[in-house]
Amino acid sequence: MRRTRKTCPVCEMGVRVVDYKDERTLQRFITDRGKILPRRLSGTCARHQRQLGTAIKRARHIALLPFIRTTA
Amino acid sequence: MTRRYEIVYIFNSAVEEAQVDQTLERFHALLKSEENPEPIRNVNHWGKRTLAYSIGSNEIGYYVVTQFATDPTLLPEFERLVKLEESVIRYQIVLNEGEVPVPAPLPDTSDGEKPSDGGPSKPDADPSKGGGPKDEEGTNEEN
Repeated sequence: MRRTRKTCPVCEMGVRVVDYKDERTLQRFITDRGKILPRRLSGTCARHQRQLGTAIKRARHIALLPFIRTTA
Repeated sequence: MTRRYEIVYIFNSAVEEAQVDQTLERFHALLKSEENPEPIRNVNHWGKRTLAYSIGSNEIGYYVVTQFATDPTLLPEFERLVKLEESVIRYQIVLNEGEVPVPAPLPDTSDGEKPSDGGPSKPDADPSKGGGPKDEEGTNEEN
C-alpha cells in the first residue's frame, strides 16, 4: 500500500516566500549538524525546497545559521 | 532603473551605536542620486546577537538590516566602501523585490507593452529563489 503523500510544511504555514532572516523557521529544515534536510525527509514541495536551499545558504553567510555544528 | 535591495550588515560588537549610525549615514549617502534622493526605505537595528560561528575573533555581532532602492550601477562603489570599513565584519546584499507579483493583471493590460526591462518573467520575479538575481548577491567574505 502506498503511503499518503506528506504535505509541504512551508505551504501549511501559509508562507509563500521563505525569508532568509527567519532563522527559527529555517532551523527546522536543517539537521543537527547543520546540513540542509532533503525533501524526502522534510516533505517540502519543490518550490519551497528550492527557496529553503537559497535561504539557508544566505542565513549561513550572515552567521544566523552554522555551516557545520560539531557536537561533542 | 531602480531596483530594490536588502542589505544585512554585521558590525563589530565593540563599536558603539552612535558610531554605527554615523557609518550607516555615510554609506547611505552613496546610494542617493538625482532621480532617487531618498533611497532608504527602512533601517532595522537588530542589535547585538551571538554569531552562529566566529568570524575572525568576533563571537558577537551588531546586526543592521536595511531595505533600499537604488540604481544597480551605484552598487559597486557602495560595496567597495562597505568592504573597506573595518567595523563591518560582514555584509550581504540581496535583491528584495518583495512578494511574488500576482501574474493575473498582466494579460489584462494587453496594450502591446512587454515587461522587457528586467520585468517579471517568472524566475526573476521571485527574490528568494536562486535564479536570475543570484549574481547580484554579495557573497563576500569578511573584510
